[in-house]
Amino acid sequence: MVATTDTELLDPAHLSRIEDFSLLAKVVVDGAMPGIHRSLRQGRGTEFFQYRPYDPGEDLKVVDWKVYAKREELVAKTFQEDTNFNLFLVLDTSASMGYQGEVSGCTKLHYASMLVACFAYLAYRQGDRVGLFAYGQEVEQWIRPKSGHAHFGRIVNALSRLQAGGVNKHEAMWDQLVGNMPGRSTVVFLSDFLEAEDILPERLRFALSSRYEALCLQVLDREEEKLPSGDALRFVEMEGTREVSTSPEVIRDEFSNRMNEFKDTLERNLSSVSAEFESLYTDQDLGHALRRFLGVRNRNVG
Amino acid sequence: MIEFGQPAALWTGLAIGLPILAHMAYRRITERHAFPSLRFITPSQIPRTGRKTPTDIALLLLRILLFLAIMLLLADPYWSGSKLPDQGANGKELLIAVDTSPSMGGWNGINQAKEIASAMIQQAEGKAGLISFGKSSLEEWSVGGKPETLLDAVSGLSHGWSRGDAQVLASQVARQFGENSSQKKLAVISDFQRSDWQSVNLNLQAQGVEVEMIRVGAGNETMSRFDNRSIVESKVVPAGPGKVRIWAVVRNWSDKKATDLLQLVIGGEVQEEQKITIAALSSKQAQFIVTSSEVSQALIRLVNEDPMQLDNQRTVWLKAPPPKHFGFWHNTTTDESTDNEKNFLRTAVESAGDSGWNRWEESEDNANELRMANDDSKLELLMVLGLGNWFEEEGLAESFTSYLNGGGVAVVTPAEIFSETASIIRNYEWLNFSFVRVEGGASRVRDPFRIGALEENSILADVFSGKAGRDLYLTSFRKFGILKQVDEATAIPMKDREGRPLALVKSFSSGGKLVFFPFRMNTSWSDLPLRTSFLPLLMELTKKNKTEDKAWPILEPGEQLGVGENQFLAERPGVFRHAGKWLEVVFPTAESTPDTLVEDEIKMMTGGLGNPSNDVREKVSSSVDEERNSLWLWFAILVASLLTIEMIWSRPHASAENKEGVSHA
Repeated sequence: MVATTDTELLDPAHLSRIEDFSLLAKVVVDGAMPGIHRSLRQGRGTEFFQYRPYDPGEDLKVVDWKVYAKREELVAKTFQEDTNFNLFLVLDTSASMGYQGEVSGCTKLHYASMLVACFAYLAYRQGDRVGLFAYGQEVEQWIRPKSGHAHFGRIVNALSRLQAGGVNKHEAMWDQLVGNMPGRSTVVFLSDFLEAEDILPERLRFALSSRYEALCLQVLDREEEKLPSGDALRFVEMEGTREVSTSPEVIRDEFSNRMNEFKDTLERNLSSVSAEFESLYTDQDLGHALRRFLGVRNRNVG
Repeated sequence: MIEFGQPAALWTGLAIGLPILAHMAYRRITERHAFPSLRFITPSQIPRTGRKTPTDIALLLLRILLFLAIMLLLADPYWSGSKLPDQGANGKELLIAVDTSPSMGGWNGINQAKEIASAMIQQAEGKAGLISFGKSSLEEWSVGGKPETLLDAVSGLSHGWSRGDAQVLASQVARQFGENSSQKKLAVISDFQRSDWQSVNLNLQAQGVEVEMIRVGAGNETMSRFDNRSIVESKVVPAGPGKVRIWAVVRNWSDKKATDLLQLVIGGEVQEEQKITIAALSSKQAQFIVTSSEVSQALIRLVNEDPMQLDNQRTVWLKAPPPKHFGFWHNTTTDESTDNEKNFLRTAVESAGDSGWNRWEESEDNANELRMANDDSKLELLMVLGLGNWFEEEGLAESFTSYLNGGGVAVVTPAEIFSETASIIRNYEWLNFSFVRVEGGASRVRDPFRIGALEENSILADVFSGKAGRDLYLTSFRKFGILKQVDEATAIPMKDREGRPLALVKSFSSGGKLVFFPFRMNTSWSDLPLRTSFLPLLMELTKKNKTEDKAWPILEPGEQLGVGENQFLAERPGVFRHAGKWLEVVFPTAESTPDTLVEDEIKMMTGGLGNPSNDVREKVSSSVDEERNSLWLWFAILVASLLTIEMIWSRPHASAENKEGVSHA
């Protein structure tokens, strides 16, 4: 039997074959990155965790009397303790997120969805409340933050129904989101942020507050930075009707320079409002993004 | 040598320049590529290249060759050469087909045809044959016969009487020629009258037969083909006691007014004559009223000098058709009720006809024959009076059923004991109803039952609408049998004011009809038989759906009447007696029409290559002396081959990097 390395388990090309986001998150978090998250805090909560022997002297409220009636044995029910930490996952589903380059294993949206599933799973395992806000031309999914396994199931279900389409309306959508943000939250944005370098920092001024933490993960395909190969191509805009005929070979250098300039501007503007920024590529393993996320989360929870 | 059917297509040779331009100035066609954002993508010059290697020059030559082949293909190339005589063949064969339809009897058609046919036989270089064609009569003198025999046959030709149909010729021509003859020629001599030649196809190119169409009987300045009058219809009808009216319709086919003399000839003498003036392209009726005499037939004759004389006379019978028979069934020991009923009904039915063409006659013999189960009975109306136990005792049910199923019409009245009648009718399922009781009696003399308003769908509604209905609604019924639950297949044409049936009518699929009155036709039951409404009511209820025409049969020559031994085949116009029937055979009206096919229509008929002359001899050839072999197929194969090679040659090469998705012109 050939041992599977961690890297392979985090490879998006392999992971994209797993259709069930719930299973995918477990494979990544529990399989490839065991111990990445803190152990659960047991205590009072709503989410059942496990049974343990009852210690004499404990509050009788913890005894499961139904088990006692059946087995004449005193056992105590333990619950997962909520952390009072809100995680808000904001996912862009506009048409440009449906792009998949020739060498990529999946679309940008699928890559981002895999990350969202893993973040949600991590949050669930740590007793955080997690919510999802997916939007394109209009709001596709809006699941308010809650904790628990069933809620995690709702989120992965919602993810599996998402499809890329429409022209993104970052401003209008983010206005809706910010207006309904719960207190003390970490907001993780997953988008290509194309043409959003000016408006996004403006909308993220709330991150300047000590109650909020914003992490902007830019999901790109390699071809978006280097252009696809070919002598002559007619580029058609995915979120519009414009077409440009050009030779990628001719414009490649100029294109790369302008793209890097755009990313620099975006990062600079985001840092001015204390939002963290990271560019991710669809052929990149998920580990880096997960570690980056946990760093932000743990800092916020303190 | 090679020639072209469409030389104008050679101008497409200019298209040869196209591959050269395409070859030299080809450019890469850009492929569509969806991309998230065009923000940083700028348009750029797309590299162009020309082909300069020796391989590419060969491709250019291939493309030029391909376009050249397409150009020649469009020009319809064929190989032509003089046809060499086939030494081993039988030489030329000529078949002369002469139209002998009745229209050829007018306008001097048959005489012209005979002259032309004789001349052709005498001038024939090879073998000649003769065929005459009408509707079905086809006389043949096979190809290769002696010229003298053929000339005799031609001189003996005369017009037929059956309506012409030239299609029989087309189906017979091919087998008249020998298989090895080098040249087969069919010369058709006809007036090409439209009614005979419509929808005929004489395109015999497939059989290698050259067709020559020769028109005759076309008329000239002194004898126009349209200068024709004809008797298109004639009829004899009764016109009062001892008299008949003979009327005829005369048609003027000319576009000028014409005046003719119409004569009535009876017994070989002109009995009466009248001058009639007929407007252009219209018809006029004329009539003669003569006393019936011992003479049974008459001739109507149009006296004029038009070129078509065959349609100028008609012979008609002056004899009346046989009467319609009716009869009665009743108990052999009759009572007063039955006698009264019989008298009423006999009087009513006899008065329904006239003394001439539409007579009703009681036939006791026919009724008795039917009573003895003889299916050949000619009874058209059977009235069963007081249907009761006697009917079953005599076992008449089977004959009665057979009579109805054979299309007979029957009227049934009840017996004095109504339930006997009801049970017999229901048992044999002639009608389905339930009998309740007989309502009324002597007490109803002063307060009789009345007929309710006729329903719209009643078969009597049309006859008794308006004033005509008043007498019917005054009818009083003193008693009648109450019937209920009448099945849907039975019509109830008449009800009393409380909606109870006063007559049931059932029509059978054979055309037969059963009419049941739930009352007797005598004054103790109803005064209906005494009223003037009774006759129209009875005749309307007993009328068959399809009334038979009692006039004598009229046939055209070629038509048949009857089957088996009694079959009559009409051969020529006139009046005839056959199997007890009096028949009239009339000249086919279609043959009187002066319309003939125009030149273009004859061309179409012979496959588009015909060119008939107005008179004689211009050839309507569907073949040429030169041998002509189309090269179209060979050029089509050449084009397909070159195109395939070009496509294989210029396909994108898999080995070339960065060329995926890019095609080349």
